[in-house]
Amino acid sequence: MSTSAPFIELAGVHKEFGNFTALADCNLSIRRGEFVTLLGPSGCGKTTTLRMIAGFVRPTRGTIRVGGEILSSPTAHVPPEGRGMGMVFQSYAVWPHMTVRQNVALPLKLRKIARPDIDRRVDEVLHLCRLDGLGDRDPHQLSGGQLQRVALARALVYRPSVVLLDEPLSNLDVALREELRHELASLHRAIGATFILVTHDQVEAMSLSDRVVVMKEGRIEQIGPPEEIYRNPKTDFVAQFVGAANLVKGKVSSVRREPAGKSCEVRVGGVVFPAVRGWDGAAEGDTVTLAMHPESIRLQPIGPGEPGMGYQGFVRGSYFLGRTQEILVELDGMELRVMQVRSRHFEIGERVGVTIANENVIPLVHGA
Amino acid sequence: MISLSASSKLPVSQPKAGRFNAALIVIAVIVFGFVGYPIVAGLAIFDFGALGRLFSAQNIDPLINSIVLAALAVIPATAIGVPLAWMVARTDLPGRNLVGLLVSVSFVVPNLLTSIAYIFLFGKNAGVVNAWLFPILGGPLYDIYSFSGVVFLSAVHAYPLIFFTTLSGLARMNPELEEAGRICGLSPLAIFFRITLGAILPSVMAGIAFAIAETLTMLAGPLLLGLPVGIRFMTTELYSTIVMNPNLSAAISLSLPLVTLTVFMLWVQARILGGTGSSRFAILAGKGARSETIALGPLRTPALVLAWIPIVLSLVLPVATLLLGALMKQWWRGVEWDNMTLSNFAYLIDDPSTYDAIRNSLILAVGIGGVMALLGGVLAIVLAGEQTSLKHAVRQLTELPLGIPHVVAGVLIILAWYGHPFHLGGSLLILALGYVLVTLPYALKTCEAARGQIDSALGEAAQMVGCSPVQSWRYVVLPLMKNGLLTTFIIVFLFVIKEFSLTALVYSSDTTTLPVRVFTFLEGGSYEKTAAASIVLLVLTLGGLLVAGKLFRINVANIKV
Repeated sequence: MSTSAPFIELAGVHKEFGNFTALADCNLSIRRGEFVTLLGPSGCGKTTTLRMIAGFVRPTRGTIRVGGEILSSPTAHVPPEGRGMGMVFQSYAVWPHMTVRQNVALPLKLRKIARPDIDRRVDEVLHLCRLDGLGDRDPHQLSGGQLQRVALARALVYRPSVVLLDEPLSNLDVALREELRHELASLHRAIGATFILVTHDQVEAMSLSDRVVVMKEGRIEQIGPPEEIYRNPKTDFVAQFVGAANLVKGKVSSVRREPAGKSCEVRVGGVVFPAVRGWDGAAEGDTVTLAMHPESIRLQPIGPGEPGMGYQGFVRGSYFLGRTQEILVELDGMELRVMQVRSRHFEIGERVGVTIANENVIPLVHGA
Repeated sequence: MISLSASSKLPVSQPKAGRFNAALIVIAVIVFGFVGYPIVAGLAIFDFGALGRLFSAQNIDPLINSIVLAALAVIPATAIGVPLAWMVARTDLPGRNLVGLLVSVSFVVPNLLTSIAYIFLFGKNAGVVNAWLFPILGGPLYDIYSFSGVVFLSAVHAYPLIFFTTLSGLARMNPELEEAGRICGLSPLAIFFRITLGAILPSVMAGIAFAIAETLTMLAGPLLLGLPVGIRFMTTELYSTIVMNPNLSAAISLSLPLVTLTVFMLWVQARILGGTGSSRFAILAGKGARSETIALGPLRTPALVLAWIPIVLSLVLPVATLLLGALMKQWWRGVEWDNMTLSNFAYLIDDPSTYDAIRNSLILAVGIGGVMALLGGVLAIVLAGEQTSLKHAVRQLTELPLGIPHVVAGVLIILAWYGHPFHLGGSLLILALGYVLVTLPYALKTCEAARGQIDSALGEAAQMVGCSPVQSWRYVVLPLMKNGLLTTFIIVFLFVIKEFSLTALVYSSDTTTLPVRVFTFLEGGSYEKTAAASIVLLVLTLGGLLVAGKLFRINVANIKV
């Protein structure tokens, strides 16, 4: 289903609203059948990007191609209704004056499809979106989750090759969001269309996407598969936004050559990280930012009088979150956020031993 | 499993920008014809010399009278409207929804009819109350043909306006402001004076400014109650200048102070409300959930009396008076069994000029209502989206009639369409053009409000599934605007059916409308027939309101004509 040739191509796409740059020279290629998520905080340009792909917003510069055909360029613009894409809006935008069936049937009616075929295909897609038996309901009789499914059904019924999802789950409560997230994933597998999702929720992005595009202030920070984005963030922003990582600044005190690349010893105050790997441009004396995910830091209780292992820190805060416990630890002037699953309760002021495996220390080139 | 297919795409239609611009230009021309041309025609004959004479000793009276009238009328109107709104919105006043509804209904009763009813009751010698008490008092109890009579009638007309704006201010006010006061230990009354009143003051002031503008431009009260005893106002001066001895140039000069004052008051209102333009038919927005009503306790009975006094004076008493008058052979004889009759209505049915008047009124009200719903809808469509300078200009032009009092609009319409080159004098069309002029801003406002309530994503969703702009209007936006278009129709219908100020200047003997027929009955001295015709007008007006409320489920309280 997926081929490697780019299906959707954004080349140098740039958008300004007055003096405000919403998107700065964005290049992005998406393969056919891929599930790509635009992830970032509000105002990062992700929605503008989606709306440019949809055709609601015209780029100031650059071209958007789908399947080789130019849809947006400085000289040409195909309107949204000519692009044949499907879209699910944040507010669902289910037409309130039509029944569920009428909502879903309208796209087919516009395409002058015969009545019996319309009925069959509407039934098919209602079944696919688990809306069986709700066809004759009015939208105001439906729950938020059902409305969401109607919006999906309406976007899928005409079998678009591109489906755009604008924060489709953000208006739902937590349990429903999880349920629909799973449905979205299985729908994508079932119909094989190219999905582009906009969200500010990293869980959604991680769990659904083939690739994630992390955006900040109108720029793409990093593109990659979820695991790569998480494990190897390229910038402070990606590390913090995607992994909620601890960032500490240190100096490279020595560099060793190893078969797999360079290994650095980094000092942060009195703490030494002996083997930071994955930074080949490293030289002694360089400043580097290290990212550490809260769940990769280990804490051990130290009994009174015991010497303890690793470095010694003090508990500054301790919060019970249910499945996990969040502990704030002070370690030689650094404050680290630690997540522990099913750990013992730590008291504020308690002495703890802090360890972190070498492979869990991620170097970020400073200044990025 | 659904497979990918090529069927998803529609044949690509090129953007309809060109066609859309053409529509905008056509609309711009139409609006200019309706609004711009009469104004230009008025400005063209403006005579600065005549302007100077306005302020000469003998001509200054009407101006002063009008200003004093407006200033005096808003005092009782505010004193009634503000507490009434507070009681309806915040307290456990029994039947407060009914009170609110009746204030709306009383505002729909034409001022012409209220004035007539009070003439029946308090005319110097012939008013039934005065006649009844004459043997005891040796003179009239009260003479409605007086300055204070006009003030009273104006206040009766103006208090609902202040009631409405105060109510909308209360509805928009964040209830937490009051709750914070309670937590701090303030009593309900202290909360009203120290917190609520301060928060809604802008709304009240805006209502007052608007009520002043309304009072300044009203014709019926001053014409019926002031002019017969020689008290002249700006509006009656204009009326005399057109109807008694026509002098269009003088009328235009006379219009200037009236327009200036109106525009100033509306500007004040708009400034206070912080928005652009003004809206006489503003639809109440932001009805927040109210947690608790204030218990009136022992004040309940006095509050109830206070609430019903304005309703009795503005609605119950006038309507009862007209109804009884219409059912009597001789109204001064009072309620006696052998004095009751239906012959007055029978007369109306047989009277050709009444028949014509009713027919004209209905044709105009239904026709203009339909035209304005269409025009308002199209304007709301065309003026939406990215704002260009042409759209801006069209909008400004559309809103311009807000600042033109109806009497002045009458003068402009005569200037523009009556004689050469259009020669529409004596036709229904000239009245129609007048009504279009004065209702245009409200039609746009109502339709735009309806359009504004439609989430833009609904239209975008239509485009996304393949609707062209026209199809997206047809399938999504227009059906969703249906209620707004119906509201526009009803507003304009009610407006036209009761319109008197403009009609009084423009009508000819072949084109009387029902309000004019009521007026000519009164002038002819046949009081019982005046009352009967008034009742017919009342039935049409309130009937329109009822249809709006029941059939179309339009919130009647939102219709303020």
